[in-house]
Amino acid sequence: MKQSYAIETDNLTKYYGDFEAVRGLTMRVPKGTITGFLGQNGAGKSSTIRMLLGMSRPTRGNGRVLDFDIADEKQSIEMRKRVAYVGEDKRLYDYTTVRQMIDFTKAFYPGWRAEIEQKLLDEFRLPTDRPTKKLSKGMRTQLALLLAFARGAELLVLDEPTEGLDPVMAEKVLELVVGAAADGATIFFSSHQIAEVEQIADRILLIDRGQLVLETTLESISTDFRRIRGVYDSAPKPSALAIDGVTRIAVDGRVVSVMASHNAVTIAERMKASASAVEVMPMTLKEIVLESLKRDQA
Amino acid sequence: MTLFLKPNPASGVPIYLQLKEQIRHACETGALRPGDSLPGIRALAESMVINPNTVARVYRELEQEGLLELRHGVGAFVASRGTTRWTAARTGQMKAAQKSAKSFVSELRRRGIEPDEIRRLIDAELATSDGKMPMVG
Amino acid sequence: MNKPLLYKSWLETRTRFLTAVIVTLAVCGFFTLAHSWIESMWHRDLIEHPGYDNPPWFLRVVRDYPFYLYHYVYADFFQKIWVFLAILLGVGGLSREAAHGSAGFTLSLPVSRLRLFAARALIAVAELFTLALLALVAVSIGSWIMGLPYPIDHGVTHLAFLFLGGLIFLAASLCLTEFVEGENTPVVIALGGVGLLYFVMQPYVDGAPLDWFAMPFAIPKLMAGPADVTSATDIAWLGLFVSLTVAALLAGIAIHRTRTSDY
Repeated sequence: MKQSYAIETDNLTKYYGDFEAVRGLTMRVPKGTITGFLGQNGAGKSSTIRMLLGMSRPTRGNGRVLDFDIADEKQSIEMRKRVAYVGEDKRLYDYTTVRQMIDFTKAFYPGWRAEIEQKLLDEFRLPTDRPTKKLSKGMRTQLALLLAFARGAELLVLDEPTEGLDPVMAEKVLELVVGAAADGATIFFSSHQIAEVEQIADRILLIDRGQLVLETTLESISTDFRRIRGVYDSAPKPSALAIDGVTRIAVDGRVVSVMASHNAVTIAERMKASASAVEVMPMTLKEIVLESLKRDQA
Repeated sequence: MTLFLKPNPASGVPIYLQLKEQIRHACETGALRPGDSLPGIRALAESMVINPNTVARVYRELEQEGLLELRHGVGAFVASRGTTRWTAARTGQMKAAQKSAKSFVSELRRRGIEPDEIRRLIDAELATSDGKMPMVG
Repeated sequence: MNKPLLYKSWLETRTRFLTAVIVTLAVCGFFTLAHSWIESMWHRDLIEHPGYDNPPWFLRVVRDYPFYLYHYVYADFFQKIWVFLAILLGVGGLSREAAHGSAGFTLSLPVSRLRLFAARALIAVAELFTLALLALVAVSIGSWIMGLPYPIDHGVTHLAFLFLGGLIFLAASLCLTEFVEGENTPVVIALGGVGLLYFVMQPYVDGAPLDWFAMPFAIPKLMAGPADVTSATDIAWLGLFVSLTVAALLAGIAIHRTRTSDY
């Protein structure tokens, strides 16, 4: 079973002083998927990713990436031979040229994909003899992505890969992600753009204040998730809505709105017993994310 | 690639259904004919910028429906005889469905139901009936 | 050792190193080529102001060329510049990269943090050693051009003192940059410390007997060495041993820090 996960964490926790950046995060990223990692700023996405890559040490809990223990330096190095990472901060070395930066990185990866390097140099029109210091922010991001995609990695961990890119370049990056996935790589990427997650991901992890609040597939969103609304004469007892699949309940006067993660048909039938005008509506990823992040949980 | 349009993730219709519908449509209009080969999973995923698993799933499902033929190691092709039969039957079905939809909608309109309300009623009905998302945008 | 990492460290320090080369050649070249000019100035001074109370080293500087080099180059001006250069070459590391924003990229590479540190330390030591060699070459060639006989072993001994003593400043710089965040803050702190050190220690370098409390800070005196080295007994072996141990200790602290930090 273990082999089928590219990333798994168990109760992963990180404190920075008194601040709990990540609180008991338990999650799985199956191999061969494109998994979108969603959450607000400061939700703990980057802290989690840094722990996975061995850049910071978990306060508690543990994690495995490609079946290597993240807290063990030797195993972490073995893991990093197979993983490509692009961080939130896409700065590179100011004292090299684009060419030197590529040659330096290439030396660490025997499986370096020269054809991808060349393709991206052409597509991004990166001037190889230009000092990286003099690249625009967009070009720097492109170079960072080139250095990641050409590694021929089994797992790509991308922290906000399209941030700061224009729509054309952002689409180009998504195309690269799709291409890497078609080559068999697992992709784990964080993003603020729900639309791009919806476009390419097949799985979603949503975290809030360092905890997992939603783990689902895009398929399940279209087939299982529903918003069900009923108009009640008198407010229903909470027990009346304690039905399998009900994940959120909002009451506004006579209207009760429920988010169902599955089992929508049964829930609607049960609500029809005491409510008039029960409506069942499909939900978009955006609606589900916003609903899951609402703080006043019933 | 101009055969298929990039899917619109914001439309509310799942991407895999959008792709499936596009392939069906291409077969119905004759843009794709029996024996024609479809793009490889990788090429189609990259050009449409969608998940390769999604493309694979659509090809598999269309194979089960008899529209496509997957030849191992070669690629996906529009099924030779299956298609014509499929399209003919399908076209007939769609024509009949269109007719009943027309009379159903005009009946509701006569009763004073607004178009938006009709849409919502249909969505709600579809969402509970078979677990699949409605195709109405 | 990992070649790409050495290459990275070289590229990172290249500009600083080349600046250091120019400064070294300029300072060593100046004190050799300008010897006759400085000497004639002091002569005139002696004649015009016979009543002046001159410091103890003064008369010998005028008469003795190796002592002149000892005084101006190894014990005073060049030594202070040397310490500054050693600190400059030691600046770098993951904390600095974190402040700059490239730490994420570096840490994603499949190498240990120990190796990252080792590459940076090795390049810095090699650069400092090269500077010492260049200083020797500059002093020797300058003396030859000016027709001043200069025994090579005098130069070798004193530059060896400077190199070995300089390692402690290099190690301190390697260490400080792992602890203090920011791209330039560690340099400012290090230079402040060095300034204070020389303010307190210069009288001892100039010949005052060493007070007990100044012993642990006697590196400037150690780096200057005795004016005349005639046998192995003239060399402060214990002092060298202690200073190298401290340098190794500082490197050890830096390694521990970089291996246990969160970036």
